[in-house]
Amino acid sequence: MSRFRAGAVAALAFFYLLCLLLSPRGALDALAMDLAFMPPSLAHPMGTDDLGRDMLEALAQGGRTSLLVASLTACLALLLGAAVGLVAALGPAALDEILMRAADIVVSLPALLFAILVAALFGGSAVNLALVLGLTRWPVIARLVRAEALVLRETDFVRASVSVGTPPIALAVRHIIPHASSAALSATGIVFGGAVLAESALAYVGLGDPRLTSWGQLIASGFAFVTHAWWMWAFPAAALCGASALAGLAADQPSDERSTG
Amino acid sequence: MRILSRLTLVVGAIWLAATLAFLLIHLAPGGPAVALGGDSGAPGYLEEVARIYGLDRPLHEVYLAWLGNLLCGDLGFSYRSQQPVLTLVLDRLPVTLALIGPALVVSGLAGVALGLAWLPRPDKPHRGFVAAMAALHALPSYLVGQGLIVVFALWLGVLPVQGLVDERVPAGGGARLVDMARHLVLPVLALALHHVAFTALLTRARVAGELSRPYIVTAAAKGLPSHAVERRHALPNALLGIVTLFGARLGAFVAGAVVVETVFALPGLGRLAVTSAIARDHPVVIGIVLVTTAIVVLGNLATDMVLRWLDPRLAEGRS
Repeated sequence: MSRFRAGAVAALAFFYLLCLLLSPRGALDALAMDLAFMPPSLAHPMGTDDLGRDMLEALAQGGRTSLLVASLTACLALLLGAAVGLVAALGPAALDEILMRAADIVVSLPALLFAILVAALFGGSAVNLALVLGLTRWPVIARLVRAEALVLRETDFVRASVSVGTPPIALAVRHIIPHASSAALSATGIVFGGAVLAESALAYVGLGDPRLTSWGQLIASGFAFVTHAWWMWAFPAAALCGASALAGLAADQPSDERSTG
Repeated sequence: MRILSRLTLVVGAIWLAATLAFLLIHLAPGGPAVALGGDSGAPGYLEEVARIYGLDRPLHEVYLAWLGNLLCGDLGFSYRSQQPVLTLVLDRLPVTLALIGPALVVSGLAGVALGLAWLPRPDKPHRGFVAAMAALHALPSYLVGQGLIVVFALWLGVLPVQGLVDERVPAGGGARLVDMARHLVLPVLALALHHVAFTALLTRARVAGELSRPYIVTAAAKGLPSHAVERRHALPNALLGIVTLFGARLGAFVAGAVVVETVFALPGLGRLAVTSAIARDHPVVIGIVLVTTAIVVLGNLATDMVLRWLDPRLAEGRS
């Protein structure tokens, strides 16, 4: 992993910690109504919203939601994708064919619309959204891990290890995974960034987790006042773009031609 | 052979989407009758819904009947609008296609053109262009849409803010069509710009990759000017990879349409999915999930046809 990508991952982690520090309470406290629409000041560095709530704290809570969903999605997709990719590359050819066909089918499902259906049936929930996204986005990672593992399988050091009788699981853990991890993390970054955008999109259209503040919801409500209180819209928009861009940098997307969205 | 495996993909994806929808309905709180018919609170209502949908039968029979109905084009009944889901969906589909179609064309053409215009050169790597495109790619389409509304509709006032038609324009005839096109300019741009950035960077990387190949050196040695080498020789070869990855983004166009239609209040499928979900009109949401799945996989099939046309080796089963 290049220093550039490591820096992007570190920056995301730093912002997440910052969000946790800045939003100790669970829900937003309304300030007095005469504090509504306050422009950025020392007391409220990002101003206040139409109900007199502090925008900085709202932003930090939105960051928690966004990164919670994205991290859960990325972990689930990475676990599933790495397992499927390794089994497909190292297992029998027939299994490879079946798994990759399944991956092709799953990845062509419209994830956002399934997320809308789940939100409609079960109510908007951060965990449900992460489940839907994780269970539909793993093929992105599986394909890359499989491709890397297929190349590695033919290298001398792996053949040597096979020839002395290393069992497949030990082979995968000791030799394949360490060398395929860079590609896997790159694909995970793509899934992570996609989850950040999907979470905000659902909240934007009004189908997010009603118990949590989200950047998408802040952007939607802020746009109603965009000509009167620019800070209500601009700061959440900047935060969302920043997180999405950092995820893109961590994945080396989209200049990396492997990115399949 | 390849077409056959593509067809299994089409059928498989639609079957999987239908099965997942079935599972979700039956797992939903309140059970399938509430999910499909809502709960009016009237005595005997849920029993009636269960009877109409045949939910009182064994689960495997219900499932097979569900698949059978879908196969016949019966997507269920919307209890909010009291209309068949298929009618509602077909009513809204043209708007979504009028949004996605031009967005696909714009992002494909503009992306390739931009990528070719800013190819990396030994003396000019064009890092600023790459950074600008990467930044554009990080913007969600609804933010782009809001930005376009502020600039072109609110400040400059040259294009409408939202909606699909201006009721002051008489219905029918060319004026209405021009009016609709004017209403679609900003939504199409909002949907396309994200993918323009992606296609530009992809084209740039792929064509630059081709430029180091021996046949390019030969073409240049014959004395062809560099733009001819890039456009006639490198681009067609790079196009295979570009079309493959571009086609893989069809799902992203559909997802983008959901938010763009919300931003611009366009009466398309995405907007219908959102309003139906908020109103708990589940049969409509399920119908839209299935129809968009079909659109995406059929689009993938079309991508495959384009690839075979671009590279006859694929049709012959070589390569």
